[in-house]
Amino acid sequence: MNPVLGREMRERFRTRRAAPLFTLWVLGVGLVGYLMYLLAREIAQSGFGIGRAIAGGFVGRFLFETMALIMLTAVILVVPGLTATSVVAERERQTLHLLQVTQLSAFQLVLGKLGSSLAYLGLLVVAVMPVLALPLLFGGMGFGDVAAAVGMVLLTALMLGSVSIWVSARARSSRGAVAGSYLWAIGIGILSFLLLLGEFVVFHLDDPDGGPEGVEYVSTWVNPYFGMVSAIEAPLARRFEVPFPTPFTPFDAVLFVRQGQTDPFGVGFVEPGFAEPGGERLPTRRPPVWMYTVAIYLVIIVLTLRAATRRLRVPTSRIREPRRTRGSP
Amino acid sequence: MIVELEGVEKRYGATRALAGADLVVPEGSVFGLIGPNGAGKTTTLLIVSSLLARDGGRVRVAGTDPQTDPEAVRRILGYMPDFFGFYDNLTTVEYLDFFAAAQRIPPPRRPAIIADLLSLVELEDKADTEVNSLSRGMKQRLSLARALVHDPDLLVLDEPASGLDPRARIQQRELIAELARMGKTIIISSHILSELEGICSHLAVIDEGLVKRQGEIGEIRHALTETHRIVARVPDERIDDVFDLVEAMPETDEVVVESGLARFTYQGGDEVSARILAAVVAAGIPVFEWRTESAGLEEVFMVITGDGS
Repeated sequence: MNPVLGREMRERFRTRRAAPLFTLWVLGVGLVGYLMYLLAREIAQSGFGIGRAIAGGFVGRFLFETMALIMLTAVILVVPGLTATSVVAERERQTLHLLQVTQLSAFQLVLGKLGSSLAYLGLLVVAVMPVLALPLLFGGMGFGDVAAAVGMVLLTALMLGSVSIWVSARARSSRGAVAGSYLWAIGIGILSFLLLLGEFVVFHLDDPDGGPEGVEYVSTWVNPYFGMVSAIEAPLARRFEVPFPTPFTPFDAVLFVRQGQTDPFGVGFVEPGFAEPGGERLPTRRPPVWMYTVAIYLVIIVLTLRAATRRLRVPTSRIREPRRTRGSP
Repeated sequence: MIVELEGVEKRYGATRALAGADLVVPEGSVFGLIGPNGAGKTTTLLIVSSLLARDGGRVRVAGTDPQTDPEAVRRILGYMPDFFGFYDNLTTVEYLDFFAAAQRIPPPRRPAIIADLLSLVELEDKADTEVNSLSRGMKQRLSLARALVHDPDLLVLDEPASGLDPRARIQQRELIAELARMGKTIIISSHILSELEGICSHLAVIDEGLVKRQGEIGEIRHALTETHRIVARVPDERIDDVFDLVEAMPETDEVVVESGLARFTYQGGDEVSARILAAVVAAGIPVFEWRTESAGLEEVFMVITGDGS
């Protein structure tokens, strides 16, 4: 086991706020899960009857999609906070040199830091597994969907963690590292939506449907939400007479337009790739977005980890002193 | 020689931290690196410890260049910086265990090593105490134990006594003396010269990025101070005889006597002191004590850096 990883985990759980935060997290996710269940029931009851909704998997699907989006959002919000200070904090408390003169390589240092942040995140996910597993009991989605969702959540966490480690290795103060890491997270999580809006305006000024050939929205490639939604195979099948949107519907709509499939707001109730239930499979014109997302994220991970390693490698031409703040030694 | 520096240069932008420093540290020595703040002591130690790249010159640590093969240097080097922090939520044992793991010491060997180190730095009774509740002196000793966890041949201590109270300083000096007896080579930097007095076998004076003088501490003192002071204790009733005898000698000066003690200075080496002593004894004066008062490190430092005569 990487010594840095072991020490970081031990330290994280010994802080006074570790237990209350953990408890709050589990309670929060449980509460949200329960509220979403009530909402799904309400929607189903008003739309097509609770019995059919549960039997048809609507409730399970709705819960799953909601929880997947919540997990992804939580990762975007939590990972920079967990990772941003990891290296700069060592510099600030003047322990970095002590690590750098050991037999640990700079890459091991970086991996230990990244691993401890992701391991902590992993524990947060494991702690709420019962809530996440609830949709499986209701049906409407399968283990493949869960695997795709978890895979994209973990990849996003790894990417944001790597970026934050790199920012942390460059930063001279914890505050700067946190700000820099969240700028990246906001850029990837929110600005990409704004870019998509821009792409919509540009591409659909004359042609609202995007035409039969569809439109390639490049901004969806870097957006983790689109990556996750496109990786999850089957949006809700059209099993109900009354169409009703699920949390994935807006994302599906964009993805379907991208493939040249019209009627985007009905697609949440159609098997992907089909114009109507039992009909002919529509041609897929473009590779799914998640392939681009995975490729881009892997490149970002490799580049940022490499850059962070270079930053921590010694001997260096200049020792980077932490920015002194009031109360620092 | 375990450490050799030849014409080492280092710049921080427009500031020249080292301007062609030469340094030779013999194996097994306790080597004091003295100099004012900003003289280049820490820069020298960072370069030796493989943390900082030099701009020019040649460095060898146990025959290895710390810039091209830092891993090899780190295997034989223990480093204690001037300022350092701790992982406060760890106990003393956990702290040392972490660094032992970082030094790739196999887990089965660690408990015995840690127990030995805690015994060496006299922290056995603090084994399960959290680091943040240790005193400053204890933390400093723990840091020394950390630097020793992989049993390095060379210890580099940058201002190790800064911020310590007198008791902690004495404990640290004893510890360094013990490490020297164990055969470690120790480089200690300090700008507080009294810290190094009595524990260093060798000395280098660094100022304005240059090593102005280095060598065995006695040799440096001797070479730098041409005038030496003798303190002689003789019977009170013979003190005037001593005065007359010593004052008549051409090598002596500033002869002062008072109730059984005679103080005077002389020009020359040890043979002059021996000749004066022989003359006193030949005059039938019993000599209870004959002591040469050496120049202190502060005096040596002032002479070398050109701030003293």
